[in-house]
Amino acid sequence: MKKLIAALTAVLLPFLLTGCELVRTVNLQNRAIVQGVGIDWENGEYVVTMQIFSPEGSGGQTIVDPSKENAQVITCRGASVAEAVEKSALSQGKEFYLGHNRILVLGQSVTDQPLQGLLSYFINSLDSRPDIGMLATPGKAADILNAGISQAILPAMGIENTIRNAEQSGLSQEVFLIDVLEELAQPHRSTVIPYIALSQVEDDKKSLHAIQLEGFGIFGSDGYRGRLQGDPVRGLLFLRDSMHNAVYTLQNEEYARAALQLYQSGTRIVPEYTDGKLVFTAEIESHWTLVEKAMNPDRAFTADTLTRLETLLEETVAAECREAFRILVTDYASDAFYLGDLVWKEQPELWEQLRVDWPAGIQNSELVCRVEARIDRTGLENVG
Amino acid sequence: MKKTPPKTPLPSQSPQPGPSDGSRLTGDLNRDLVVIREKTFNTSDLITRPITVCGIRLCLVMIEGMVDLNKLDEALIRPLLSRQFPDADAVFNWVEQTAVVGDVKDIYEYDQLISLVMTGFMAVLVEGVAKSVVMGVQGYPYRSISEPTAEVNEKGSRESFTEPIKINLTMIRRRMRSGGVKFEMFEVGTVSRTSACLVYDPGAVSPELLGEVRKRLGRIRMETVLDVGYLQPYLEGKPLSLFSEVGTTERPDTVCAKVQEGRVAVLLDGTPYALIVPYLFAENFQSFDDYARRPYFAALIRLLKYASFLISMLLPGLYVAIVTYHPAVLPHALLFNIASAEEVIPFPLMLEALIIHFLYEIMREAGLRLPRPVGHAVSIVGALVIGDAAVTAGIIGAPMVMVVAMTAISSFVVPSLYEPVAVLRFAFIILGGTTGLYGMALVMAALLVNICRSNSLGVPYTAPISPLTPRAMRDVFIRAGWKQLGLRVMRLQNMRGSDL
Amino acid sequence: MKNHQISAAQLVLMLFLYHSYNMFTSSTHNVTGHYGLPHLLAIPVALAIQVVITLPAWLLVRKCRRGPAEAAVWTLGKAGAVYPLISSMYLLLIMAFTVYSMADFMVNAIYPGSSSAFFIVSMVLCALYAAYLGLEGIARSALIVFVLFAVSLLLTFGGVTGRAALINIPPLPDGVVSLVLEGAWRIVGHSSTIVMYLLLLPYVRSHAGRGFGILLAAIAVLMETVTFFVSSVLGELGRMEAYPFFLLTTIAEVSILQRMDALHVAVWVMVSFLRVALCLWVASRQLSLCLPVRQQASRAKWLLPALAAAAAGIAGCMNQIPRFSDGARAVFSTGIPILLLCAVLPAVCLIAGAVRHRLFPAKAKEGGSE
Repeated sequence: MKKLIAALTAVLLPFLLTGCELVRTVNLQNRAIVQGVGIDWENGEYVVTMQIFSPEGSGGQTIVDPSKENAQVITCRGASVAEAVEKSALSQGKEFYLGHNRILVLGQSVTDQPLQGLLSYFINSLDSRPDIGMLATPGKAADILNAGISQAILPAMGIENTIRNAEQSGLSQEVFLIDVLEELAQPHRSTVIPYIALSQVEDDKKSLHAIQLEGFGIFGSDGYRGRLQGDPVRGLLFLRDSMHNAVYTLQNEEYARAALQLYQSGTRIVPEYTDGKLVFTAEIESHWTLVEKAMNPDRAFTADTLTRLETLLEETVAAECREAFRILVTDYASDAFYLGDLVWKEQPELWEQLRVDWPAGIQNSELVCRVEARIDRTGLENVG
Repeated sequence: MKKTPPKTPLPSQSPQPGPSDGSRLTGDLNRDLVVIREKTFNTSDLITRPITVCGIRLCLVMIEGMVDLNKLDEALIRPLLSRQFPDADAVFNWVEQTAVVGDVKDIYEYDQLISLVMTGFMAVLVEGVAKSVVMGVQGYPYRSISEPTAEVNEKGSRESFTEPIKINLTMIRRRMRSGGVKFEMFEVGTVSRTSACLVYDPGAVSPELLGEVRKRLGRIRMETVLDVGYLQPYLEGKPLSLFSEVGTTERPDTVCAKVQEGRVAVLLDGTPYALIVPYLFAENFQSFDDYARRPYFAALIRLLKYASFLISMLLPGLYVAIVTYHPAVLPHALLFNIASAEEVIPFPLMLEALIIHFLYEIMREAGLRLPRPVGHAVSIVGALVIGDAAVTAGIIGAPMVMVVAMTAISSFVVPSLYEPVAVLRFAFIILGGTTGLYGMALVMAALLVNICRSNSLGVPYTAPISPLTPRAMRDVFIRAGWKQLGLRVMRLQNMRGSDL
Repeated sequence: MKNHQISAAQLVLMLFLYHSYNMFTSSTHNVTGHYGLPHLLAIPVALAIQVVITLPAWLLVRKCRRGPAEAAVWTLGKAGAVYPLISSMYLLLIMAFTVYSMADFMVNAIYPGSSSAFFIVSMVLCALYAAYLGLEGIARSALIVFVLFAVSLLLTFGGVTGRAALINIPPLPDGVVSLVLEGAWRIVGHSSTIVMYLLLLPYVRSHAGRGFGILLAAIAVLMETVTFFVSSVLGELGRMEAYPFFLLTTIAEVSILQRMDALHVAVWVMVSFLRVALCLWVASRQLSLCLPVRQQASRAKWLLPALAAAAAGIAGCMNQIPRFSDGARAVFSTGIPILLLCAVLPAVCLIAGAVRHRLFPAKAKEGGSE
């Protein structure tokens, strides 16, 4: 019996090498490694732009030269994203591999469509990863992917690094596909996606395209709602409890210039229903470091001046939060702060009443912002 | 209650004298010599040296080159010739009782006499005496005790076994002087009649284990046994299994340690290493150096060995599987480098891996077989062929060379597992290239069940890892300090799941 | 027949892995359409129900000093073969469904465009080999697979901890009691682990009762943890996804390693392999009890390949015809097999045993039969 099994195994095993595909195989040489995807809408069809890895080494086989773009951009069109991707086979000979896709850029033309449907291809694709960085652009997504950014091995990596750096500096937030899907899974919620645009940097030799972050786009389950730019962006980040690092430069009668860096922050929002009105109280506790200061003439650096600086800081942060709330909630009726979930959790009966028309419910709501700012690190200089 | 199994006699234990049947010495010197010459087919290295003492004829029978002639002359011939004897019996008695040599036995039968003479004994035949006295005056040349070649240690003893079994037994006895270790001699091979020895501690070994070992060795029906490896299939439960349940060692200190744990060692004359049974999987990762080093470092080295085993077996297959089917696992930069390297390679990754590993095995085997003066050429050719030319020619990619290098180096960390690892490596490359991580995981799981199912002479092969014996784990992945290890020796019978 | 013996610890580890399969490839943990607090509450309730529901079987085992199937034959005579017959058919269905769902998961989530038949056949063949090697091999290898599984779980949970937000867990809805009870019964219906535990009692050396408690507690902790993380990380998305736990592994990133879901799935393959192998072995043992005693030894060797072939065939049918798989799910969801094998039939056996004076007096020492 054992000999029979051994003989059968010996006969059957070589079939593994004959090329009969028990499991569908795509060799690495036949994969086009996609690093960035852009989606636009033109003339009733999707225009899908893909930035794929195309090495431009400097001699050795394995050396990838980061000073070169190492990318090839392919554009394809179709009635759906899937069809557009399939049609790319007409113009190139490899199979797209989305497993290492870094960014997904939505052009302005496509943002009016509901995001879940738009992103459905990437949700259902086996290769696609859920932590693709989501971006939107006021122009064409194709322009972003065609930009000759040479900061990293590939332009898409450079874009991703830029977003990450902005998040760490408190200027933006990295939003992933999974975040968008998770937020929009509840119909009452909205999501925010960072906006990027092209900017041109001249140097002696050639023009270097670069990208610049320009706030956030606000999206509901029905599509694009509006933009948020400038200082209210920081308020948005505070209210979403996504602010980890920011620099505020303030001035008052004592400080000609005082730069404060946030090193720790926590936000808690509590809903209250008073006199037929929803009031959200945001309590922000923050800790700051005084990294730079210039005192006005005849002004001393004392604990009292520090206290007044803290008060100014609190007012500034609160104002930005209120402005962000006003734009998102009041103007765009968008719940990007999990307000509905908070009401649902704290007051389920109220939620049952309001959930029917939640946008209307929150448009009349109000934000009370209580910021507690502590400047408890002042560097090496002694406080008088 | 455990039953003590009946003692199975080992082959060729000394038969007692019986009634005469033409096989016994007659006392007629001429006739006895004729029979001896006939039985040895008149072999030209058989020397018969006649001596006459006081008119009494004697004959010394020995094999040329196997006897120490100086010792013989000093211990026997000179004293013999300087004495006076009244009769043949007096001569015989003097030789038997007074000659200053080590091992002296009375022999009554031709076959026994010839057997002992062939092992280096010298037989003295006296006219008129129907028996012979054989003396242990061996003096054949043999390789001196040298350093172990396969079990190299940084600290610890540098002695390894050599070919003569007596020397090996002496090395063991020098280390275990309490008398607790027993040597049980036997013969194997109907033609070669090679001396073998069971070494065990009667106070530590399980009677069932000993009985089973004797039973398995009793099944040997070979004519010639030239290496202790011939005995290995008889001791193993499943000779076709990838992993051997019989261990080997060329170190006498290792034998002593194993015997103390209740194991049985088998030594064979002419072989410079011993077999140890039962042999468990975890022992492949133990070396004598571990016990000479500090515990924390020994633990690090042990973990390194386990990691090296897994790397040497799985790395090529994993590399092929991940790059072909699951490239999302790799960091971006690494994937780009691999993609750049593989861009110009004409073969699929699986084929590339098979080719390069096959080439490596060829060179490794060639390096083993080549004469030493030429051997270094293999390393040069190997470095050129694999390291440079193949990559430059675009036959294989540079990352694959790294994989081969790491695999090769890792495989030498645990040399006892080289054979199964080499075979499994190819299997996993094929699985990884055709079915990805699914196939590798499935076969790995089946292999795991196969290994776990094995019992090495009544002890689970994967003990003490599974079934878990917590107290024994102090010497598996880590090596506890000697104060803890020396408290109580962990015997095989104490392992969970053991049938002993 | 060869005497197989494993320890209670090995049994607990083996069945822990056996049960953990449930969370890989299906959304059977969904309670009335979503994860969340009702399901978190349903888990301990299910644990209590499992303890209560198995009481008749434990009593039977104690009174007859045999496993439940052996006790059924002991108390009911030839009619008692109905117990091992039902249990073997139930295990066959579980085995087939496991193989089918694993193959379905593979072609939908990992290997697009591949043949389901390959996964079905390969899994069954390997499981047949493992079952042929016997219970000890499966039980001993379970420890090593458990270590890998624990590492995989720790990496997954560690990688997603930063994303967990309590706000994603909806509060208790209306009618929570009925939701919890319904969910608890659904969990019990999918807990073939308790049946498996009882059927393996004849092969356990000692401390079987204690092991049962530890096993149920460990499974409850695992399910609570998984449910918590799926709910708190994915929120409502977890309800919409076909394989929510798999999605969790795709977003769990540790250091420089990117998506490690393929490595996690490799561990799951090993877990499902052990599950199928165990089902096959136990089913063959149960079916052999239906044979006349004299024929058990000679015919037992054909049961393994026959059951394996049947499982592969049923799994193939489930793959081709959705009604088959839906039917299997429906059978599990009703909980009828569990009820029959843990409570109803053992109660009948107890009554029959009392009538026929086949019950032993109570023994102080707990443990497996004999």
